Formats: sequence, structure tokens, C-alpha cells
Amino acid sequence: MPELSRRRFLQTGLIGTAGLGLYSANLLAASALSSPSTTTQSALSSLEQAKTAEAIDQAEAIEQTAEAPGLQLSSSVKTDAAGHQLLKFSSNLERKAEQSTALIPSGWRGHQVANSPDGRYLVSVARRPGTQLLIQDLHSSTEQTAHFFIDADEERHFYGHGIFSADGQYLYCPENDYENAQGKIGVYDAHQGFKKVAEWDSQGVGPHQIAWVHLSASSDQAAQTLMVVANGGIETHPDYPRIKLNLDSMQPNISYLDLKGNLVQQVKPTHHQLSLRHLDVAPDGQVWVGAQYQGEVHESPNLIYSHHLGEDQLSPVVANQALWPQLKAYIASVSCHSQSDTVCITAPRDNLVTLWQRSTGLLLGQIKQADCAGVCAHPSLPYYFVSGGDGTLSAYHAETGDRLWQQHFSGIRWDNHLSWIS
Amino acid sequence: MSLKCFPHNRSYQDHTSAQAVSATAAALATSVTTLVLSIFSPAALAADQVSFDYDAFINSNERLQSQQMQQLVKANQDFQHGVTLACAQAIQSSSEKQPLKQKPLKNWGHLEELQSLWKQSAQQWQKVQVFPLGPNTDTTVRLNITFWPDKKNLVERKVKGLIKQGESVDLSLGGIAVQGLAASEYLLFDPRHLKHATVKQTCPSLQVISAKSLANGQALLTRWQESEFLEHWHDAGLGNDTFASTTQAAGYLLAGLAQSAEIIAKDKVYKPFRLNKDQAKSNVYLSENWRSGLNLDNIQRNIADIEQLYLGVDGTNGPHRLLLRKGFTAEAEAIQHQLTALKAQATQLQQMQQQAFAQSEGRELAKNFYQNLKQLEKALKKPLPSFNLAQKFNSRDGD
Repeated sequence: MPELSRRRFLQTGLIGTAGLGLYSANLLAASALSSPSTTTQSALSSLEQAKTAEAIDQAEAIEQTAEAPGLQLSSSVKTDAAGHQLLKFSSNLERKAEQSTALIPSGWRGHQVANSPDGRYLVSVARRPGTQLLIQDLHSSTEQTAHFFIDADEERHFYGHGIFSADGQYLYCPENDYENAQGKIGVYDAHQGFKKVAEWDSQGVGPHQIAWVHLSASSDQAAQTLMVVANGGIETHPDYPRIKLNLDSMQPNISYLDLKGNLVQQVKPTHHQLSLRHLDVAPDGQVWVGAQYQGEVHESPNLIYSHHLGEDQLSPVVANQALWPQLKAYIASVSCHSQSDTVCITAPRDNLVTLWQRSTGLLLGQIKQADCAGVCAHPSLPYYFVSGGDGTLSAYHAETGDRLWQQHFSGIRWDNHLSWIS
Repeated sequence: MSLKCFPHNRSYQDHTSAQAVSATAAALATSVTTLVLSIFSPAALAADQVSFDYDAFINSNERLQSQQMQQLVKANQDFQHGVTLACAQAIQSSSEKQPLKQKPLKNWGHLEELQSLWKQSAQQWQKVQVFPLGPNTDTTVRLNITFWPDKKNLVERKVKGLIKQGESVDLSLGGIAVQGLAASEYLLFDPRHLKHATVKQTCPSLQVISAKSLANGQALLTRWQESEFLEHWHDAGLGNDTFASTTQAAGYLLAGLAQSAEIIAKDKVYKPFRLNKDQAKSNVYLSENWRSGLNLDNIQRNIADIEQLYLGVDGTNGPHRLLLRKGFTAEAEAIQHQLTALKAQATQLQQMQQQAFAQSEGRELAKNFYQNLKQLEKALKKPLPSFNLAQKFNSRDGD
């Protein structure tokens, strides 16, 4: 790959002429990220777009972030060569030749990878009804401790999700107390080798994704941090792996818990078969949640909602009712951008990436990507990264939805979620 | 019930330019070739001499599945109607003369008739079950129609819970195990239930479950009619998000049949005959529909239906002929060879009936049958790379 400056890369319009997939991720970092062009546009239009003032401005913006770290992503993947693994992908923004893909076999299918805020730990959480955590310690000095497994307690299994506390000491994981059909949140202490030190009630059945809600101080309350839990409502039991046992009587909800595990507020969707599964939180505390409807696909209600603590119901996004059956009643991942008024949501059963404006709930864009599932936002630049089961990793502009870059990873199936490593 | 209609205006992406002649000429060519093929084995012909009617392939499968689902609804209607009448009569006769409702279920005069109606529903479901594409492949949909595999006998536990609810039964409290045919099979066939339970105890649950089975069948048909899958299948020749071409649609059918063979091998043969251990004894309770004794009939039926989908609804214009046309003669013959062997073995197993689970001879036969099923799966998968099927991972099994 010839060495090109970011500006020159943009100006030559190479993205359009050769196809983005031919370029490595370091080029994304170097230049393509800054282009508003799309893969579907011709070389000429790419060139023209690249010459626009907007593109030049963006290129300059990238120049200004030269000190920013490169791409650092983690995901559970399935590889053709060695089955299910924890993947860490790095690509340095500045040193274009540096791109690495590190894999650790798990032996089971993971789901989300939880990354500690200090960048030390990557934790692949087994999806239901799996019972292990695979922990990668990037600060380890010995090979023996570079990665290790933690088992769930007896009569518990994981749901594929977890998050670290802000100080990185605790890992929280939704779990199933399957003999009693009760959701739990397990608390693991990284300082004690990820020993389980506490367990909370998730306030529902089938807890799935969890996230932090940081509320700033206001006239009537102090600043506080809460955990929001998406309780999918679906009862499962390892004796009948992956079979949904209670679809008629399920009661999904999102629950806000304080840092002692006490319930602060709980909100239920309008339809009891709307399994609230994946969520993310905007900087202002607005929770965005994606659902999987368990009734007939052609009758699917709205699948995307937002909520602020204190509101008595979920707010649906604004969309044509036909969209939800089109998405096959299924949302995979939700990611809010901290710098942009948008949320990116994937629907793999329709091979569709959707982009919404958070403040209005309006649909901004829809982009086709095969088997797209994982999505994460760049922490500062206006990009979303989306991974697919066919091995493709793409970058989209957070406000226009323009595809800026993509790379195909041969033999790798990216699993449901993609995480940014701090 | 009316089916959705779609315009027949394909651009025939699968047809070669030589084939893209007038519809009349094509039809004539097809009929001539069919005549030739009926005399000479297709395998003996060069690939380019084998015809394949793309439209007929799509339409015949579409029609067959609609018919099968309508017949399932009809069978479920008959069953539900039979249950309603029988239970109403039981209540009436109980109030007039003697407490018939208190009789053990095995002595109920309507039992045999209801068992027969139940079997018709269950057998029809087997036919629907084998089609490996579209909305009826959803696990939850299938488990609602009949809950199986049931390795921990959840059906018995949950049906007993329903019975305890008394006269007024709320199915939603029983979960997925009691929503369909497996639960009504328990009520009508389970040896211990027939001996110890009464008509009075059985009727409330049986009525609710048979009504639910009817609703499940109707929902299945509606879901099929409303599905984007059906629309895309119908217009596969034009190319769409689901099928790039009719050829690819046939490839998905082949891949689906391979998956069906895999599931039958694992759940219907390997586990109940406990083939994981050399010296183990079979466990009939792990087999499908063991209570009604349909376990081995189902397997025989499944193989016959897989063969029909492979050879074509009309017996000739299916994926088999497409493989020959594409030059996969050896692969097509291998599949056909396995199907022939499997049909003979399935008949042998079926003839042994429940003795197949009790005797070592039956287990040995099941072992060979299993190995042939795995061979069939392998043979069906072999030509797939040339069909360019999309790799699905998150969209097929996310969380």
C-alpha cells in the first residue's frame, strides 16, 4: 500500500476508485475516516466529495487529532480455523503499517466483551446458557496469567454481557438463577482475581445488557450513578438450552438500580412480549433500548425506545410501522455517540444499520450491511464501527450514515457486539 | 383462506440466453425433455441436455407448503371439534346418569376416536416440519406446535400443573411445553395418565390445548402468507435480498435438507438409541411421540418427505435435476443412493415398531441408519459451495 498523506488520500479519491475493502484499517485511521464519501458512490463523486470544503475540514480535524490513539476494538468472534474466540483488534492511526488481530480461544460462544476503563482487562462473557468468563489481562507479565477463566456459581449462568465500574475494580454481569427463574447481577472484584463478592436482584427475569447512567447534579438531587438493566423477561433453563419457556407470561422491563443494588425505578413496555434486550446510555442519561418482539413478526410493534429516569413510560421512536416487521422484529445492538446527537442500532435479520437522532427520535439513515450486529461509537470522532457475521468491519459517519471505510476479515464471524477499548 | 398472489413477471436470471426463448418454446422443450428423461436416466445425459423448469420449481414448492399448512389447520380443526364434542357429551352423560366423568380415562368411549384425530394432526405436522426454510423454521414456533425434544419430561410436569388448575385452565401459566401437540399427546396416550386420571380431570386441559393447537396452525399459515420469505421465494428468479436467483433458492433448500437430516440424525436417532456408547441400551422416552407410538413412523415419513423435496414436488423437477444440470452428476447420484438406502432402513425400523428400542437388532439397525443419515447430510452439503449461499451468523442465531 503506498504511503499517502491523509489530505492527499482524500484528494485522490482512492476510496471510490479501488473499493474501500481493499484498504487496510490503518488507512481508515489515516484518511478514510475523515471522508464523507460512501462506497456506493462512483470514483468521480468520491473525488468531488473529497474536494469539498467539508471534507477538507474533516481532514483537518483528523490532522488535529493526530495524537489520538488508534482503533482499539474487541469482540467475541467465531473463526473458521479455531472456533469461538476473544478478539482484540488494533490499528494505529499514525503508524500505518501497524495493525494487529489477537485471538484467544474460549471454547464457547461469547457475546459482548467488557473492557475495563483503564484498558487492562478484556472480558468475554459466555452467552446463555454459558457459565464462564474469559479474562485477558493486558498488563500481565507472564503468559500463565495473560488470560484465565472464571466459572459462574452453581445454579447460575451468564447472559453474555457485563460492565466494569468506573474505577475498574468491579465487573458486573447479568446472571440467571435458573432454578428460581430470577435474574441476578453478579459483582466480581478484579482486585481479588475476579472473585464473586456480591449478587443483586436484577428485578426481573432474563437480565441481558446493563449500562451506567450518570446523572449530574440538579436543584433537587445530587449527582449520582445508577445501573440500568434490560430484563428481557424470558425464562430459560440450561436443561432446555436456548428455548424460551414463558412467552405467554413474560414481563420484560428496564430497571434502574443504585450502587447497592436497590431498585430506583422500573418501566415496562406497552406489550408484554417486547423483550427489552440491548441498551446504551447517552451522556445526558437518556437510555436507548432495542427490543426483540416475541410475537408474530408481521405484527411487530415499535422496537426502539428511549427513556429518562423519572418518566413513567418508554418513548417510541418515530418511524413507519412497516419498519418493524421489515427488521424481522429483531434488534441486535445499540450504541449512543457521546459527541453526536445520534444512536446507531443494528438489525441483522434485515441486514440493516439504522441511525436515529436522539433528541427527536427521527430516523436519519438506513444502511445495508450483511449480517450486521456489533456496533460501537468512537469516543470522540463522529464515527460508528459496525461488525458483521460475514467478517466485515465498517465505519459510518455518525451523522450522515455515509460509509467511510470497510475491511473484510477472512474466516472471522464477528459476534453480536463490538466494544471500544479505552 | 386466500393466499397472497404475486405477479409472474420474472426476468429469469437463471436461464441461459439459449433458454430465454418464448414461454411456449420453453414449455415444449421441457415436455420433450421430460419425455426423454422418463426413458433414459438423467445421469446418462450430458449436463446441458438436462432441463430444469425454474418457475415450476418455485411454484410447486410454494403451493405444496401452503397446502400442507392448510391441511394442518384442517386436521387441528377436526381434532378440536372432536375434543369439544366428546367432552360436552361426557359432561351431559355425567349429569344424567352416572359419574362417567369419574371413570378412568382409559375406559372413555371417545378415547380411541380422539387418539386417531390427534394422530392425524401430528402426522400432518411432520409433513410441514420437514420444509427447512421460511418462518416455520423458527424454534419457538415449532416448540409451540409441539414441545420436543423434552429430555427432562417437562411436558408431564407442566401438564400436571394444568390439571391442578381444575375446571378453568390458563395455558399461559404452563409455558411453552403445554402449548401444543406434545401436551395433548400426554393427555390422550400417556399410560399412567390413562390409568389414573379421569375424564373430568382431563377435559378442561384437553379442550384448551386443542383450541391452542388450532390457533397455532392458523398462525403458522398466516405467518407463511404474510412473510417476506414467501414474497422473496416467489420472486427468486428476479433476485432479491433473500435469494439472488432461483438457483440460489434451490441451494438454500439443499442446505436446509442437510440441516433437517442432521437434526433427525441427532434428535430422533442418535439420542433415543443412545448411540454415544457402544454398550448402552436405547431410551425410548427420548424419542419423539413415544407416547403415541409414532416415533418410528415419523422418521419414515420424514425421509420420504425429504426425498420428495429433493427430487421435486412432481417427482422430477427438484434440486436433484438442477444438480445434474449443473454437472454435479456424482454428487446427485450419491444423494439419491443415500435416500434409497435410508428409505429401506426406515421401513425396517418402522416395521419393528417399539421392539426396535428394546432389541439389540433394532439398535444396530438404528446405528446404520444414523450413519447413512450423516452420509446424506455430507452428500447434500458437498455441492453447496457452487451455490454462493450467504453466510449467516448473527441473523440466524443472535441473542
